[in-house]
Amino acid sequence: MGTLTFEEIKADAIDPSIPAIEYDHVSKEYEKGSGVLALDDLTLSIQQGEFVMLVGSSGGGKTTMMKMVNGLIEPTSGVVKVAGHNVQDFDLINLRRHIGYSIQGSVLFPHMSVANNIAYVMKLEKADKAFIKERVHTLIEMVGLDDSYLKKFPHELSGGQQQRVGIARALANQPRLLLMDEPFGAVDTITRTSLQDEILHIYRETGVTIVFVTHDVGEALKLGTKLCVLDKGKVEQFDSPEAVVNNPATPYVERLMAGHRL
Amino acid sequence: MLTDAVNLLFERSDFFFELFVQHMVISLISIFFACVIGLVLGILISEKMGAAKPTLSVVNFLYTIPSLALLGLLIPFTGAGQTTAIIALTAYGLLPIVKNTHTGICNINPAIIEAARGMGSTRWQMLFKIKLPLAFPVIMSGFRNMVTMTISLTSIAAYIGAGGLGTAIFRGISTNNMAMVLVGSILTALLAVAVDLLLGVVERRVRRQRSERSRRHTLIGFGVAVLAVIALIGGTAFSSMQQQDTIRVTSKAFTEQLVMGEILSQYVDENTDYNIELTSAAGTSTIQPGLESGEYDMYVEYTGTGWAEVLHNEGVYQEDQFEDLQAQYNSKGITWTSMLGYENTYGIAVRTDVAEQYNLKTYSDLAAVSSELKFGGNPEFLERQGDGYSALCEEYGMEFASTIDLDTGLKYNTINAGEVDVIEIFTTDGQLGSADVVVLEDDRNFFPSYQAGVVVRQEVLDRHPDLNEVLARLNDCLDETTMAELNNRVDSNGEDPETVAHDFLVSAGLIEG
Repeated sequence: MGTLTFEEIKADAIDPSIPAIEYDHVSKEYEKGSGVLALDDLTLSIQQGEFVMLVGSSGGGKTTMMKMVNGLIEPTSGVVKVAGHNVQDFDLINLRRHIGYSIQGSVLFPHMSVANNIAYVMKLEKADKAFIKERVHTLIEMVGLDDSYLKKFPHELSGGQQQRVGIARALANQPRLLLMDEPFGAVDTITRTSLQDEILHIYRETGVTIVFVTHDVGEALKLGTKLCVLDKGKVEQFDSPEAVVNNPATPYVERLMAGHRL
Repeated sequence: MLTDAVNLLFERSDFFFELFVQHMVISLISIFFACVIGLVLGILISEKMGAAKPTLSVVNFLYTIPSLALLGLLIPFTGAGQTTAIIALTAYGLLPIVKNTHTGICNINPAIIEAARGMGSTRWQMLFKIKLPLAFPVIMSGFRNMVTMTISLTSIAAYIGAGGLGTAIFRGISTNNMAMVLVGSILTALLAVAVDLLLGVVERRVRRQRSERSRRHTLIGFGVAVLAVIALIGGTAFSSMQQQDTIRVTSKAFTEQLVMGEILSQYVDENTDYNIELTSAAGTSTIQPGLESGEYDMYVEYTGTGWAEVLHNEGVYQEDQFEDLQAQYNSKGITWTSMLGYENTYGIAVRTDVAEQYNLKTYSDLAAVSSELKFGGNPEFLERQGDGYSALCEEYGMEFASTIDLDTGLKYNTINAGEVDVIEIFTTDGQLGSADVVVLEDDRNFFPSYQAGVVVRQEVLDRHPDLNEVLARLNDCLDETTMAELNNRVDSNGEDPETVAHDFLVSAGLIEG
């Protein structure tokens, strides 16, 4: 772990000429010497302001690829860069606080109220109290809920409401980059549709770069400005939704897209 | 029985209150240490998974050592008294805390941990903001378990003279005073239940509180309150212990010794300006290390016991060897100051009907029919080398059908009930006069001489030279008949040793009434 902080590279993080994320010949082998690669020589750039959907069958490397961005997983070889700087050069605690992170299922902290869940990172950063209060209010409305929810506890919320709070929590520290690992995997179809609309709305309003893991092709096509199709640790295709649907690069992509339209 | 107990409680409320306070101090300090060490260990092994198994095996092992054995094992290292009791109780308290902390932390949904990590929590923040709060209910249930367990186990501390409500239980058993046993047990149980209820209230409040902050405040408030109580009580206890002019008198845990402890402490108290602290401990083997390490200052011992058990000399002690005995004691920094004038030697008694049936008069008569009889003796006698049970059997060629360990206070009840036929007695046993037994003649002079005398740490005599003269006045103040009478007042009439001792001292003109 390095010592670079996000504050030091803030200019790079908003410079549109520098990619938000770059993968340079990145490989990951979980069991050393097993020869089984979760990611196999991945090279790819994600520009700022993109909404990138990682799709493909389970075990294809989607989550591995995403968790390398905030340093939860280290590459076996190759380099992952955020805003032009190697992730390993960052103080990872600092980096993570500036990257929104939302994962599948009910992973709100069960012992904290909604307000405290949303304020979690801001409190880690020891932000000013009045600022936190104001920000929590803005965020709860941004995800389509209101202040009456702030004092509730996670177990008093429906699955969909929990996901909304999860998104608010990920956005709390005004990140330039948001990582979402199948955030809507555990909710019913109707709730899912409304959550998808909500995240699109937030994306358009904030201009944040989003990397979103899903195995639902429909969801990928609806949300993404780009799709990254992964299979067995390799990128099959990285392109706009139109291109992926209309011109699948490989038989795997073709099979995956079969029956799907924009 | 219950009315007796209630009366006793009110009559001697000061005595029980003191024991109650001692009990709380020992329990609370042990609970505090078990908690701190247990939490740290529990957290460490949850972070370093490899360490979990060996650590849990060790605390598990500690937990399975029988409590009396653990106390016995610790005495050579830390002496008798509160320190040893606290170490042992802390060792027992570790398991529930370590185990529940470990389980509580390991059972947290890994996705929650991952989320906290991905959001940039440091290790400490993860521990204090996520892991410990989420593991709290599990840790709390282990804690409550441990607290009730420690409070009841603290009763055992009396065995090594650490005080607490167990003192009442032990004394009650050895002086055949069931009301005393009952009061000691009920107070212990009440204390445990009350503390558990209190913790239940704290736990519910913490869970019900919505904000993290007020929860933390409740917990901190509770912790501060407990620490304050410990500091307050512990501080007073400690400062009284630190007082230089305190003389610590102790006794073994049977009736005569309890009476002698009272006689010695009341007498010295009335005739000097020193503060007196009276405790009681299991027996010579627990008192001697305490005497050598300075935890106890004086007690009443018997010459024959000192010869064999303290000095580990071979052979049967007779009084013409007293100078040798005194010299050997002096080399340990201990002095026999005054000889009280009575002998409490061992004897063998058989139930009258058995004696008549076989026409038993002497030990040799008994040896001839011993294979048909059951023998009961106190554990010390059954185990002791030199003049104990096995040496007696060897000398006379006895071979009893079976042996039973009996507390000194229970042996007359047991022989009268026919559960044993032969018992080992003391010649000053209070119940001896009224029991349906015949005392046999030691026709080969097997038992050594057991003159009672006051044994004092030389350092104490050097520091307080006036004690020499004061203690000298106790020479020949008692005889066997008087001693047996005093014992009988406790064992059969249910009077307490304190009163019996006071009456004697007044009538002997040793203190003013």
